[in-house]
Amino acid sequence: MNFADVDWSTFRISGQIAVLATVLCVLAGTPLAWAIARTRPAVAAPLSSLALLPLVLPPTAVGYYVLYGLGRQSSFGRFLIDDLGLRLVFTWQGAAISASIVALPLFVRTAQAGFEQIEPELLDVASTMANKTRVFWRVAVPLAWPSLVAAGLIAFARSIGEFGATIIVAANIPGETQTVPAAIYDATQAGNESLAHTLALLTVLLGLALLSALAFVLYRPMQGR
Amino acid sequence: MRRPILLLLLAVSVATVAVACGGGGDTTGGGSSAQLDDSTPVAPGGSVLGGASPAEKRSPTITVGTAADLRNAMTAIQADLEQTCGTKITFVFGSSGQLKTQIEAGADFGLYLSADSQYPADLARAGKVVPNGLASYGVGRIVLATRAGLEPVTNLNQLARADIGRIAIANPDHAPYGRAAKQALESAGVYALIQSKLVLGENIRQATDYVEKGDADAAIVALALVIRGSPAAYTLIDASIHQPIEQGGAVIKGTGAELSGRCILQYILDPRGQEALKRFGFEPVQR
Repeated sequence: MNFADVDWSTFRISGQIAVLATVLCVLAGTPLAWAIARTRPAVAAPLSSLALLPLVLPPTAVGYYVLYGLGRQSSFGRFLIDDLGLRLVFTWQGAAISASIVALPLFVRTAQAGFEQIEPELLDVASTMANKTRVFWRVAVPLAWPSLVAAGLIAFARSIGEFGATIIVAANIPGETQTVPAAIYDATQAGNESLAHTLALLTVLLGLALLSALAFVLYRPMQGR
Repeated sequence: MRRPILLLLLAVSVATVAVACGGGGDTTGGGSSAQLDDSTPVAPGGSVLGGASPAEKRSPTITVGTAADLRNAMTAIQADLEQTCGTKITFVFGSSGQLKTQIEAGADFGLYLSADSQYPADLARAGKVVPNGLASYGVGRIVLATRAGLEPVTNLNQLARADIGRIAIANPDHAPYGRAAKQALESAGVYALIQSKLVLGENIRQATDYVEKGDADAAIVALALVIRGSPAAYTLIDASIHQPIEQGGAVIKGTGAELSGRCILQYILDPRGQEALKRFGFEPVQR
């Protein structure tokens, strides 16, 4: 064990990235999952494929496109940097954007399953009394709540561990964008076996904690029924 | 519900402790006194062909763990090298430190071309290198590069300029060119000033990529990677403000391609190879 060499800022940065990535997933993924669960197949199928695409892509491919899109190589990137002053390459926010894309399929699948479990009759009855937005917020979201929380936790967990896309977009800047996975990679490459070992063990413990939380959220309400 | 999680936790803890205890055992180095003779690297003009043990073999294919600064130079001479040595070469490019770690972990590199001379010497001390299998083949130079579209930075002090945001160097922890870059920044007295602007590339090729694609505004990179056409403007950095980047090679023991490795290393030490390195900005080893 080598706790002396552990740079604790890597945990803070991984946490920041995962929180922001989860928020982005919730914002983009909840309406997407709702649309996939409730529209007719002709619309839902392509939406579903689109949402799942990052799952079958190598994270490095996602990272490549994000770097291209946000960096100076593309006109959109130059617009962001030169006109809006928004530099996202080499920042933890940029890393969060790529992590959210990688985590989105897992969020959408889980949230979608939650929405699909709602009795359609219930929603039909509700829509005779209120408009669609109100039905979504007052009926669908409360009923699918455990799945939405689980989806958020899965997205968070996936973002915490994201490496390939993150390292391409945000590089590996100690204290700024160096995440826990990047620190493990660095320690391995630099031959610092004891540090790599310590960090890897910490991620195992963190992963177990997250999975326990997930199990708690998923199984608790069912036992209650 | 609780019990399976507890059991899993227990199982993982036991496994981890087992790994932790097992891992401590193999950290003892191989350093034996018999290796002392091999610790002086052969310089250009010398030969690494002699001293081969009968167990060494020639192979139709060889993988060469190669420091990223050599990417352009090695690609340029690859065809000639393959013909001369009668072997098909696969170059694996990375930072010298990464490649060294991979060799220690048993990577099947018949030859290791490092960007420093310390890593090959470390491998020799650990008994990973064949007898008479160490050589110094050239001295690298670093340059200060600026991305296209910016007023070129011509000395290290200008890195503090407000229009210079990100500055790329290779990771000094395992890349010799990153180490030299850091030393140069420290000698110039600007390291503390610009430290917050640094972006570390995994190897010197990645750092070069950052400035060539415009994601970093400036970079300290290998002359060998920009000398033959680069979109980035560059200025040579005075070699006296950092440790010389003397680059060494090592023929790795027990890969079944030792003789092919010796042949490639010898080619690089011979006038043809030295001429090629010179074209890419390498300077001769001073002895």
